[in-house]
Amino acid sequence: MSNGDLPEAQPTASAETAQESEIRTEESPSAPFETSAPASPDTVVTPIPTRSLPTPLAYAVAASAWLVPGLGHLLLGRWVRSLLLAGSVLSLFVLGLQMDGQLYGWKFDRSPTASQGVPLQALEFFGDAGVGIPYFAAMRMGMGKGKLENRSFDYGEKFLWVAGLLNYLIMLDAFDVAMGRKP
Amino acid sequence: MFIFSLAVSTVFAVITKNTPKEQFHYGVRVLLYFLGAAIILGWIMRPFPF
Repeated sequence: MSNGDLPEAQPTASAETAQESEIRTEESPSAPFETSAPASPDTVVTPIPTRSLPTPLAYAVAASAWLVPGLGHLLLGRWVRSLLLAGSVLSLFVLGLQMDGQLYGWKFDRSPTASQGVPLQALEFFGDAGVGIPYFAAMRMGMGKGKLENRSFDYGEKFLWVAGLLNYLIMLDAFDVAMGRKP
Repeated sequence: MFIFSLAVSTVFAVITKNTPKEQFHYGVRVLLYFLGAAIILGWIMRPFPF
């Protein structure tokens, strides 16, 4: 680098900086701290609008999202998402029952001849119960007994678990939307 | 397997992406990943008797 380059380059850079700061000041005079992350005047960032509910109401939305798949997003006015999510979870749940998958209850089988250990059955109950009211209704109606001799028994169980676990994710998503953390 | 993959990819796409276009592209990509992984793993496991 020769010494003659510096006097030519420095005024140009400082002139650009001055122009940018003038533009920034004209566009947003009430935001003096934007100098740490300068934004190009050509770049237009449109924030996606979010709205936050009071925290107790957000918890109520999350609870409703757990009890009825898709209800949380429906209460937040996102009915297309609600239909897609409810359709996915409930179709997995119904198909799991149709494939003779077993629903596990919270009363654990402690007999020594039990095929499932207590800790594992707790995890299975946690997965199944994620569907909410459909799980309790199916248990109440005596569905989900499971037929071990059927080939589809194992697949059905996995469908039921995944339906419940997905609904937990949906519940957390509804809570985040209700709190205004995501659009 | 297809129905399972479709349902799971739909939920993943809806809760992780914001705009419908992003959701569609991500959902299709995850669906194809699911199906591709199942087919590839199925062929890999084919010679094993257990």
